[in-house]
Amino acid sequence: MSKKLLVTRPEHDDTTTYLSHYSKLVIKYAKDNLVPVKDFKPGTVKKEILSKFIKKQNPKLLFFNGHGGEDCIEGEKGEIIIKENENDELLKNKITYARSCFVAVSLGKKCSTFGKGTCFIGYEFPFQFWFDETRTTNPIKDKIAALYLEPSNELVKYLIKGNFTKTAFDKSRELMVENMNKILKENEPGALERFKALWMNHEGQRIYGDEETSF
Amino acid sequence: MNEEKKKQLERLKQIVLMKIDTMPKNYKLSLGNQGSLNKSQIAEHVNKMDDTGKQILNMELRFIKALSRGEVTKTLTSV
Repeated sequence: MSKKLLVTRPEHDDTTTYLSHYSKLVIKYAKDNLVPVKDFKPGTVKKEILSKFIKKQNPKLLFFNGHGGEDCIEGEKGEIIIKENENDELLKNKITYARSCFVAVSLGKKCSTFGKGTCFIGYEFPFQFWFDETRTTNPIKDKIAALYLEPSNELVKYLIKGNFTKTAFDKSRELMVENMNKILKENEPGALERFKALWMNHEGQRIYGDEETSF
Repeated sequence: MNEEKKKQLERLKQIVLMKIDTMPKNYKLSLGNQGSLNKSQIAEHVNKMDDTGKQILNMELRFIKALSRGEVTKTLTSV
């Protein structure tokens, strides 16, 4: 097993573009901490290349960004890169964080059968966020979206620091709560809707498998 | 669907539409596979009651239930 971080960053719509840009902050953090990173950049998130890389290089930490379903994680433009009962063995003995909708419902649960050293963190509901349409050319400067995407970035950063998976999971949820309180205190137009989206991410985030494994 | 359920659904739709109306025009909701939606697109889905509209209403219902059970307050005071 190699202490390596794998990140997928498809970019084919607003959602994936935001996830991709915020993932670059995690990649920078990993590199600053001398963690080797394999960055599957936009246009390269293909099932075949990804599978080969995981089998050959055996990275411990997998950070998937993009759309998903109850039993799958997607790469470029709907291409399924991880599918339950098809190539889910790629997630064995790995820590997986999938910033994707619904993936925890079935694929995540399946990972809890893989035994010690395997952990899956993902979402049971749609991973959702509000963003400012005038900031789409530079998502990192979008303060609205940051309230949702920074707590999820922090989850990976806590893992990179070597914390247990459960600790990283809990810390990211604490940061979501802090941001929920921030939204309520600011009390700007649409506060309740913005709050609700963050609350849904908080409630929908799930952890399956080994909660005391680390990177 | 009986009359009472129809009325409840209509009330829920009105709540969602009123809340969405408070959002600034330049804000969009990224809702995973459903794409990103501005306030008028959200209202359109809710009025049509298509899959996206139903998903939005389900989330609202879940949120209202959590509010009434005190789960949201409990979450907010957990940190």
